Amino acid sequence: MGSTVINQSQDDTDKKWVLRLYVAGQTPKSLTALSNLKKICEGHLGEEYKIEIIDLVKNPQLAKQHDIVAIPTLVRNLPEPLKKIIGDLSNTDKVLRGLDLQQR
Amino acid sequence: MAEANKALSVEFEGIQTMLQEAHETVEAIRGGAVDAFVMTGSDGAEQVFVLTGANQPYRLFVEQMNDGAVTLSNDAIVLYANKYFADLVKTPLEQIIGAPFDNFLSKKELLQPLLQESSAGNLEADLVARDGSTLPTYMSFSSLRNGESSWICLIVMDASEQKQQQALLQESQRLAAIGRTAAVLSHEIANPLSGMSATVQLMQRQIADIGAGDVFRDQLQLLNQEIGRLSALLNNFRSLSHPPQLNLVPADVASLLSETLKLLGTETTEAGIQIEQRFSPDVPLLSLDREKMKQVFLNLCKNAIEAMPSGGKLTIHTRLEEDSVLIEVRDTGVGIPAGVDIFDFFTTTKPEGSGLGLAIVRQIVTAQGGKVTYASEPGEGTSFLLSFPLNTPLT
Repeated sequence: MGSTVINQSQDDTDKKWVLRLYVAGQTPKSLTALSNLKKICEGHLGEEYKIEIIDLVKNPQLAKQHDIVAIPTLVRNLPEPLKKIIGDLSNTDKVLRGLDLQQR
Repeated sequence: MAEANKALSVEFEGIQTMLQEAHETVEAIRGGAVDAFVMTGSDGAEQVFVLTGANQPYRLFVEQMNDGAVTLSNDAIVLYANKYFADLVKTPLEQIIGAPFDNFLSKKELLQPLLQESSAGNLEADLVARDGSTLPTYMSFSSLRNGESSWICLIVMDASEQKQQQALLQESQRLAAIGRTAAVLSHEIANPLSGMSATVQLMQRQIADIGAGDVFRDQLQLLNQEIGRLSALLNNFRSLSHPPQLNLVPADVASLLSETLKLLGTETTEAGIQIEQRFSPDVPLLSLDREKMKQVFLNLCKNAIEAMPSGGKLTIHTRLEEDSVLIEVRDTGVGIPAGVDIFDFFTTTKPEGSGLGLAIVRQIVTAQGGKVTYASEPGEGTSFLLSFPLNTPLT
């Protein structure tokens, strides 16, 4: 389907955080965003997260769903409300604020 | 009124959100935090465009790899080639791009399978370089669709090393077969030969008994000599077809060489050859088979002497260099022509030579962990160099 899921377990329905990262193949920023996102999740979300990676090069039509223009973009599906963060996620503080995560 | 306000409020919030997102997008672009964009084509379908800088890793990968990469249009014109390919065909890139790939293939009909749609595979082909030289290569190809156009991607790998290895393998198999034949043959020949020798000696005695005169004696002498030559040849062959059995003891190379030279004393004086011996005191004892090494030195010195029929100089050096002992036997004789491998079986520059002597030298030297090489200038002389590592392994 052109998507990869990280930290998926048998019963996904109880994952508190569902994040979706839109990437463009293996461009440098896409790879950076993924690496940063993983670090942030491991550091702040314990086991309660699931990351879905959507490669828009393989499936450009999926960009419509969340109105993606610039890549990479991170979308927080859960918990609601929807949040969008554009860029390679290198600024951790900005990402945490954008996701409404308390700094531990 | 309140409803209108509420509607306005909601609309305002919507506008604020949109503005916020647009602002963030612009900031992300400005800050260089993104490297690809989604655009909507005229047909309404989305397409992703990647900023050129973002292709850098792939570009570098293709450019730096140690194989040739070529992209062809479906009528086999080169659209792209990497530097490695350009080096393989010894042509500058600008003369490759846009040229028919045919130009670089030694056999043009190989292109046919490549031009079939959606095919992928491997083939062996010879590239032809600008200077006319050919290079064997393995090529792997696949077709690539890019929207409406269809391309062929080729990876070109230099096969010359593999070909060399194959040739070497075939050669060593051939030699092994020869060796086995030689072993069998020499066994078969040995008996009749010794029978012949015995018969000749009997005849010599009988001739002497009946006093039949010198005529037969000379002919029988000749027969004996020829039989002797055959026997020696046979023995040489036999020793070559089996690994030599070595009796390794600590040996002083200098004394072995001196003893050898003493054996050749008359020959060297008769031929008017001057001898120079230089044995370095640094050279330690080596683990060697004394008898076999004397055979080696005898062989080398005899060759040197025979190369100087009208006199000359025979130089024998030993020295220690880094972690090897070097032994040099140099003459000022006729030399060995270039392009000849004097170590090959039956290769000789001597009219009466068997061509096996140096093969045996090499066999004995390498069996003791050493190496033998030579350098020669026709008309000026030849120098043989033996080298033994200090810790000669016991084979």
